[in-house]
Amino acid sequence: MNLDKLSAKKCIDLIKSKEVSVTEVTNFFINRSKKINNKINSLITVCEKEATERAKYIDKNFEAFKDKKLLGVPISIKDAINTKDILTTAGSKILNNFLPPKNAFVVDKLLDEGAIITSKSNCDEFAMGSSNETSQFGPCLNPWDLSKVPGGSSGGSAASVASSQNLLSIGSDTGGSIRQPASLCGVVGLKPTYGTVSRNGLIAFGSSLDQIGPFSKNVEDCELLYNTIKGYDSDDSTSFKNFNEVENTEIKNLKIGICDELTGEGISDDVRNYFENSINELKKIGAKVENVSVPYIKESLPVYYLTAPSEASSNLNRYDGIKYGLSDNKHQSSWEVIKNTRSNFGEEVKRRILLGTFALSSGYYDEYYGKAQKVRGMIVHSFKEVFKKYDILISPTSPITAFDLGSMIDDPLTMYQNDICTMPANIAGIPAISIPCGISKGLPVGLQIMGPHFSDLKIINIAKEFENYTELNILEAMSI
Amino acid sequence: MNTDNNNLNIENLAELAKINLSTEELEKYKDQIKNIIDHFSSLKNIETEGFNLNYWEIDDKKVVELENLRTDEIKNSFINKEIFQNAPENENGFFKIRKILDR
Repeated sequence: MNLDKLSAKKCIDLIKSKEVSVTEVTNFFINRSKKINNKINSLITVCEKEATERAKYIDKNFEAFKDKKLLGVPISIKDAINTKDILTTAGSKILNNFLPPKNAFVVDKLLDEGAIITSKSNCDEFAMGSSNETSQFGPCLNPWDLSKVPGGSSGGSAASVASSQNLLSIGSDTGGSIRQPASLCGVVGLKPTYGTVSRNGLIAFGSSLDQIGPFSKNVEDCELLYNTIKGYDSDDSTSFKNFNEVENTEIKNLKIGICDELTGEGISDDVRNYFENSINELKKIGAKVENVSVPYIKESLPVYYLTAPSEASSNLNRYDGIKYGLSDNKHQSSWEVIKNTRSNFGEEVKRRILLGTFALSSGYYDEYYGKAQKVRGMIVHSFKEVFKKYDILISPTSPITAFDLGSMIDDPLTMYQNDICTMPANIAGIPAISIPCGISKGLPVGLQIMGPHFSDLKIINIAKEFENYTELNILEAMSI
Repeated sequence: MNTDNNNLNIENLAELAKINLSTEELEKYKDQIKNIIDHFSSLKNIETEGFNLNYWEIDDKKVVELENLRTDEIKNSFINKEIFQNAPENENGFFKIRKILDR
């Protein structure tokens, strides 16, 4: 049976009707990873033993599991998310021996619902990057073209779903780290509303921006995975206990804003053509589409690159070579152990720690970090005002399609521009989804839909209606 | 914003961040970080006089109850074995470290 072409939903149906066992599904995808991962390096660890044991257990206790939401579905977890007693590196040498004592909240939810964790996926070191090239376990390659990057930081998650090594994946998104690789790999990626999915067990980068979210092959699977992982967690103080979802609206009744600031200069022709196609499709379905300006949104780049590194410089202070992780402990004093251990951070991580330390340092704090927080507030306010008039905002997800490996890695400022369209949603804490909207010169293009706080299910439904209408299934063209 | 970055003291930042950097790294980061900060000088021109902390609030009609502070309660925590399973060195239930102060 050609299990690799299945959606997660279809796979669950087959297992439920006993046409295939969980063990057969697990073995199929683990074997596929053994063949494909050598080519694209999308996975840091393949959890063969744990996955096959769990699959056998579920097959043996089928009655107890048969109604579970993710029965037997193979899923990869970004290696920046804790999995009990399974190596979790965050793409860093600093954690090259780290076995978490406990699962992340979302991982427990997945296991409770019958999912099979088949692998830990490659990512930029501590999720800092837009190309998966800062991973200290080597870059992940784009399965559409092995000379291109898959995007980042959750590049391994996106590439592993696109290449059908697993049917779903969990990533994290601080400035676009789910949506941008989803766009570059031709899969669906959602950054939920900040606070709807617990961050407990996510290795912290920029805590006020970080959000865990799903990767899938289609929007229906995205909805299934989001509904499985969302929910209140008393161990995450930013987790919402109760909230009202924004009501669904059919596309024909929608008022859609095209975000002016994210569709101008810097968007490549490849991307622009397919973005304009998407606008036409939405109009054909009956939506009212207008251009709209979101004041201050252009300042998202400096706001992000002052806020996220500041938070990172504080969060990464815990890696001291004493409590866990790598330790360069051949030195005579503790300070030397700490400073030499920390010199093993990769280049980009060190750069961001230094930048954050600068923005928070005495004499500069008000001018940089403080100012950035005020402008962040202005951006949040702008979105709220715009969403009084429009149901959703749309833009390209990434200004360009997948780029050449090595083409930007030595130029941090150019690399940072890759997340220009995705960062505003993190800054405002609003949900945003990326869905494929075409293939240009053999590379996928993504459409981003942003909505107000708690409109996650609404934007998912809009994406689903768009997907059904356009009947785009670009993964059929994937040949790896 | 960019005038006082000319004397950006990268050695001091590295010391604050507790990272040993090589001479080449210090040189490279000094230029790059100065560039990045100069690039962000656009923020200086944004008028934030009207900024109001209410801007951060999420529409309260949608949040039925935001429980930021939970009540104190006794819960299971990690056992020592789990705490130390990743420690480079430990002895008798303590993390073992090199000396901090010279006598």
